[in-house]
Amino acid sequence: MSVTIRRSERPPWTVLSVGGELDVVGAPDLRQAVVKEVVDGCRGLIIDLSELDFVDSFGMGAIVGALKRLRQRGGELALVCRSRRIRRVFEICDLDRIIAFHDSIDSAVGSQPMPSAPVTP
Amino acid sequence: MSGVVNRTIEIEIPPRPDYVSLVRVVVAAAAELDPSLEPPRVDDLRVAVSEATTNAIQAHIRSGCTRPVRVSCQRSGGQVSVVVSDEGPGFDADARLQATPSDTPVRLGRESGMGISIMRALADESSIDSGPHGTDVHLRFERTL
Repeated sequence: MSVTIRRSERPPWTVLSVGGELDVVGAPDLRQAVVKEVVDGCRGLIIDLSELDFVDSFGMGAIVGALKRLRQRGGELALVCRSRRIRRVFEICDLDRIIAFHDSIDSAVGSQPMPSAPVTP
Repeated sequence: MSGVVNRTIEIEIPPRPDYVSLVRVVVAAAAELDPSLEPPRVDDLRVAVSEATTNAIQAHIRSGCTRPVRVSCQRSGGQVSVVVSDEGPGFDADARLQATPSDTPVRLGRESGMGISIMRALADESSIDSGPHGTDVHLRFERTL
């Protein structure tokens, strides 16, 4: 199984719903989709992991990359993830400290942006 | 892929990233056999084995080695032990583990380097034997957390 990425709009947010397996094979697809959104002007991105079956460090790397690209342009990233199994992998790397997690897309849409951290180029 | 000998399953895969998911499936299926690991432990196993196998495949790709990556999975005494072996040029595991705090600007600039930390956090016991002729990653998982 590879990764699936579905795009939708919840103005002012863009939502990328990611399913399948976000590993060394799937991560480049997410990275490419994020780059396209940022280049097209997206500054508020929600990555919905509700349908995700698996994530490892390569998938998380793509998500860290999304956060970096958005914050460099004054944007923000929110993650939707209810699975304890998936969230645990993020928590091991302390990524829950720098990325906002939500239980639903509605919750993410209604959220206030997290304070941006400066990023070295 | 070779066969099953007693309670040890041995797999040889080409050094290609698209084989990582196959290794996850086989190792997880083996771990679920009697005596099975509890489901959260199988989840931990899948992630840790994915990290080790991907690193091994990348080591072969970077060094131009076309020989297979080997994965051995042994069940005994209510635990599962996995060894992922490659013939890459080796690496300094301790140097890679120089963790950067996650909320620093430097951490945000890094999109890789989390794999070893994840393996060590998820496995009950782990070790990395690495030298110029290859690397063996040993992972052990108990039945329960």
